Amino acid sequence: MDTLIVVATMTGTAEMVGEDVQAAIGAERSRMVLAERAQLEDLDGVETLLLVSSTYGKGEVPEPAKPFYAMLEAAARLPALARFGVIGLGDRSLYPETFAQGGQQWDRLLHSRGIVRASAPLLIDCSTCQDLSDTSIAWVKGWLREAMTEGSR
Amino acid sequence: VRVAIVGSGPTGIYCADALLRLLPQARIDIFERAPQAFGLLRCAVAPDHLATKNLLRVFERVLNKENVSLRPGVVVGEDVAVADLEREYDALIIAAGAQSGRRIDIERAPTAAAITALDFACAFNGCAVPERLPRPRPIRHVCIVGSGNASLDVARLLMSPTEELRRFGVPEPVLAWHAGLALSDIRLIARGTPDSAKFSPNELAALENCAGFRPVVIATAGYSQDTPLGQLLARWQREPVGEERPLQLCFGLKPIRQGEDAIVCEDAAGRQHEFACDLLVEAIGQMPAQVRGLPTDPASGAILHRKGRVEERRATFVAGWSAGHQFNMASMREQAKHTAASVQKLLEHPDLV
Repeated sequence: MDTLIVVATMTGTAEMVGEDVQAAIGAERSRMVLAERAQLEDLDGVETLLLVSSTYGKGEVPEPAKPFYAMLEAAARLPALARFGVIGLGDRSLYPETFAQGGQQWDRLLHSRGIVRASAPLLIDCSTCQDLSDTSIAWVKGWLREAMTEGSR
Repeated sequence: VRVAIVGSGPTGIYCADALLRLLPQARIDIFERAPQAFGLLRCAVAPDHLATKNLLRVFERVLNKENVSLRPGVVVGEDVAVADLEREYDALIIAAGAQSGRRIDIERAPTAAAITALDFACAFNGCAVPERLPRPRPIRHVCIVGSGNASLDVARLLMSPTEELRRFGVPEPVLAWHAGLALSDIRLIARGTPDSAKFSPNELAALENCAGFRPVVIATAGYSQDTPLGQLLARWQREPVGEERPLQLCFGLKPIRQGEDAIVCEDAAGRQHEFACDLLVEAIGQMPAQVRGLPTDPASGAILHRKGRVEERRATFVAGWSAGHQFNMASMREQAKHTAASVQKLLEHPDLV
């Protein structure tokens, strides 16, 4: 299996985006799992990892996703992933200071665990964007191209 | 397995979603009293809160699942009895939500114009007949009672340019009402001190962006400046920002009487204060919807239950406003997982519970 999509959501919005991105990549080449149900074993055999995450509280990752975040942080070693990418959702109108920091937390964590970032995270402002899925799918296509390119190492 | 859910608002939809994750084969019928689905998300969340309104698409996805069907325009307890649903289905979840805004108990002149924040939001969302918006005369002075985010929604919608509201799908008759406003000031009246206010600091801070208004803080008692809310209020008190017309935030006042063009409030020391008021908006919370045929707590209006299960009923569960809980969307989704788990446990081990 090529791409694993992990969705960290509070209300279900990030899950909708994850479902649409997965449909766009295709079922034979990707799988989606909710962070609140994810285990480290889900990463076995995965080439590219996509995190879709909303932001909670003071710029934190969603509460239900925290156990998985902690697992990634604490694991002695992670399966050999080739690349990762992050789609971070936020609300700039109400939370300008902590905008999309949930996504940025995953980005920093995965980078610090030695996984290669294929592209800079896509950060989406849900207070103005009305086509979250289309915006995400367009970005994912570029991200996957980057991930396949040797030069992005 | 067949499950009936009463109410297609956030609670009902999240319960259906959580249930299908645990019991993918379940068939779910959702009964909705309104002609359209999604309850408070459609009708009470302010139309300019796009980040939250995006959830409408998430909810549609749940409703469009093959084994979920919506029965709109059915009032459970009237059109169909609770007891009939209990017989017909393996489990029943009551998620009937909040139906009406709470009213403040004050003396009112017959000509005094007032509306609840819920009815106000419903009108702006196109969920109610626009005639509900009172038009006593040119509306210059609006007072909003309550210290939660519903008050801030009302203030923000009043202050927004009419043309901007059009972008959010506010219905034409409501836009016409809005364009006819002649606001010279808005007053938010809170009974408690700033320390007990339930405004979210970010939503309050966003009022600074409303062109043409200037937040003014009037607090009779001192308050903590260690909290984000206290810091913001102190800053506004110290250095008022913005333009001409005042948006007054008054704390420590209890409304006691509304006349035709003024409201009288009382402070903690018993002194009376009179403010010009052409329209009063009451934003002090909501009452759970009544469901005939179930035991109800007369004070709160919530259905009596024990850990989410209606007492002395085998398989009738209650969640959200119906259970007396007030949630935001995120905590509602979490709560729905528990409700779904209780339903699953009962269905799989009927003898244990």
